[in-house]
Amino acid sequence: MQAYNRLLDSPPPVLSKLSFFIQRFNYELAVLSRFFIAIVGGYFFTAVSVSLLSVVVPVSKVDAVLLSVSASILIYALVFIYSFYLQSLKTVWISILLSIAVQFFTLSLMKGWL
Amino acid sequence: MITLLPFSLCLIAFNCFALAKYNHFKDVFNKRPTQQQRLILLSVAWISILLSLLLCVNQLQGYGGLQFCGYMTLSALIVMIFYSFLVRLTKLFNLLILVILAMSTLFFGLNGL
Amino acid sequence: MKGSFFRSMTWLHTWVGLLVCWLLYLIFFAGTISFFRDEVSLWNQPSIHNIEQQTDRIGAQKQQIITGVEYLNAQAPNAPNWRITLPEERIPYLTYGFAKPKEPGQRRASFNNSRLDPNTMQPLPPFVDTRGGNFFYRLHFDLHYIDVKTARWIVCFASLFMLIALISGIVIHKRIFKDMFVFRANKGSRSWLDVHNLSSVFALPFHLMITYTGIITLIFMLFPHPVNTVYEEGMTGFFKDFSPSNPINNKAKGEAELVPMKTILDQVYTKWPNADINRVMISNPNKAAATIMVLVSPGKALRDQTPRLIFNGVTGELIAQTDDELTGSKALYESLNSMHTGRFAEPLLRGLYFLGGIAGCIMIATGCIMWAKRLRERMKKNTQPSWGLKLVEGLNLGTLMGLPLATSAFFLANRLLSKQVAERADKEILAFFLTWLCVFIIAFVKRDKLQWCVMAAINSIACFSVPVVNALTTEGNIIQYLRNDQWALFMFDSLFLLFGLLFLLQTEKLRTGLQTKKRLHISTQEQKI
Repeated sequence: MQAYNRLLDSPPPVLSKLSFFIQRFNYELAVLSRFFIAIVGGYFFTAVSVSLLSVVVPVSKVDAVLLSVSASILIYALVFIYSFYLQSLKTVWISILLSIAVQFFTLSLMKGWL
Repeated sequence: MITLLPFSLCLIAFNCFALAKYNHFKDVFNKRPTQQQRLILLSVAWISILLSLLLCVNQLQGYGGLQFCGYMTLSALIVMIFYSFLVRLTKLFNLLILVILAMSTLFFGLNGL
Repeated sequence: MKGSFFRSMTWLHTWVGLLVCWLLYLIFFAGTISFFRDEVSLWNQPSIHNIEQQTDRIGAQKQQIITGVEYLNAQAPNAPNWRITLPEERIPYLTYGFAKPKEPGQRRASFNNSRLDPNTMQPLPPFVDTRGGNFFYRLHFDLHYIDVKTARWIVCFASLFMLIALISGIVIHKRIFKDMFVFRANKGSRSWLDVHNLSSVFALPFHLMITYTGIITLIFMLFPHPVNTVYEEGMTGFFKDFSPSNPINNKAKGEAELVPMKTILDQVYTKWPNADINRVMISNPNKAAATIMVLVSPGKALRDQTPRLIFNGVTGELIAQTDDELTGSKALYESLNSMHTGRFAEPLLRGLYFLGGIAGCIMIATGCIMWAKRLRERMKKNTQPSWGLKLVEGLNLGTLMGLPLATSAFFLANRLLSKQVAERADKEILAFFLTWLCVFIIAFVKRDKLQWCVMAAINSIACFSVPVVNALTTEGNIIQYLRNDQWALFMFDSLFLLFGLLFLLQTEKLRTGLQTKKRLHISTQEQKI
């Protein structure tokens, strides 16, 4: 118990340096985080949603691929703008990650991977 | 000659869009436009531009659609140049495109019939 | 929410623009030149300058194909591939080629090509080794000196940022309709903003289209996921469905006589009377596995995959063909792809595409310049410029003045390099990049108004010298081109004269600007005394 309290009173130097770093570059880290979710999150969101689209659309295989691929950039652009539309960074991260997971789960069910 | 009709319609449309704005109207006619004049100008503008689109797409479908976008681009540029640099020549310019429009409509009508 | 959305879009527009603006300028610059790829290749190749316009180009094709097959049969009856490329509107010569055996490590076999004047059917003088317009075409998506795949990923993401910049730009341009025709000259950064807004707005449909469709051309590299989801065999399975091919006799063994071309051509003309044939490709000629593919120009239709008929080379039976009627999805995909390259464009539409491209270059250039001006305005007085400002200004000078100079250097190298030099095509490209590097070095050292003025003057001299060197090193010159109706060559030389003039105007403007500054400086010095 005593050892634990002592840990809370004076945290080890690594932790304090890290929290200092986060506080100092809070704005820059937030910007980087938003760009990261927009670019990387957007990419995976688009990948999974066009794959889902190509399975769902009731046309021939070739047509499904061509249609979903043509719409992919529109989806990517919209997700990108969305990441900068919402004020709360946390909501952006959670909503994008969650929707990727849901779509991937639906896709796996439809394709019988599960 | 045939291509001149949709292009001149586009030019007229952008010209009227420009004139419908207070500052450009004032530059050309030295007085503010009345509400009725603005309404007329805007209606003429919208009708010409939609007619131009219709003619282009009717002639050549997808290719025509692209041509229409190209005509819009070139017309907007020409109108932009006139209203920024050659304001005094605008009246003459308007007359010129009306003449071209009349000639190409005649040509189109004669060939269409 | 609207207020902060507006602010976040403003922030996004400037940052997304800044990250890639110089690369985008390169892409737009090279891409705009690529619209006239065939004309540039024509200019680069003096042997084909004086080919006369064919009186009946399409009517002569049947005989050209039959003669070609006879010629190739005599030259290389056992080559793996024959290729007959017929003259087009913008490519005036006829090519009979056969594939040489693939060397170890080569991805694609190289061709031995005989080029003929289609009017006389005589061989043309030997071609100079040059990439011509294809250099600029490849430059704008494969970049150069780096691995092709990496380059395409970079270009894809840059284009995505361009699309985001366009969308955010539309959102933040509140006065888009009010200020549509407004340009205020000589008002400093306000004028730059006006030019930026005007060049973006008047060609907005073009910018949106070219950016979106540009990414679509590389979409299967970017998102192979739908293909892998729908097809078990992945890309191979997809391409089997997407492109017609010959599965019937292409694995047959042994020798067999090639069916006469007349049989094939009769079928082509029955199906498509007045077909404008682009190319005839015969694989495994004189074998049982022979396949004959006839590619026909789609004309003004928005098609990306050239319509083709595939025949069994032994029996002459039609095996496969591109669809006559495209499904909605296919039509969408093909329209998007074909709209980007604009291969169907006739001179008027092609000129309009070029105009849009130039508007794009102006939009990006003014964006870059405004960034530098804004950083400089924010700089506190009497302090040294930050490394960020130096970087932005240096990249601006290097790219905006360097690329045109490098282009002039490329064309001058084409005329001045000796014909026998080894790897001549690569040397022309090296001239391009070395010149660009030199401008970057100058920009690295100093990047004031004086350097801009000097670079503009050098650019002006370089542009004027291209038609002059052309006249001195080839048989023709700009006046002859006008008299002989050689429009492509005339336009090429004229454009260089025009740009020379524009650079001269820029030099003058910058020079008077420098003189005014000097006079003001001297008068303030005098006042102090």
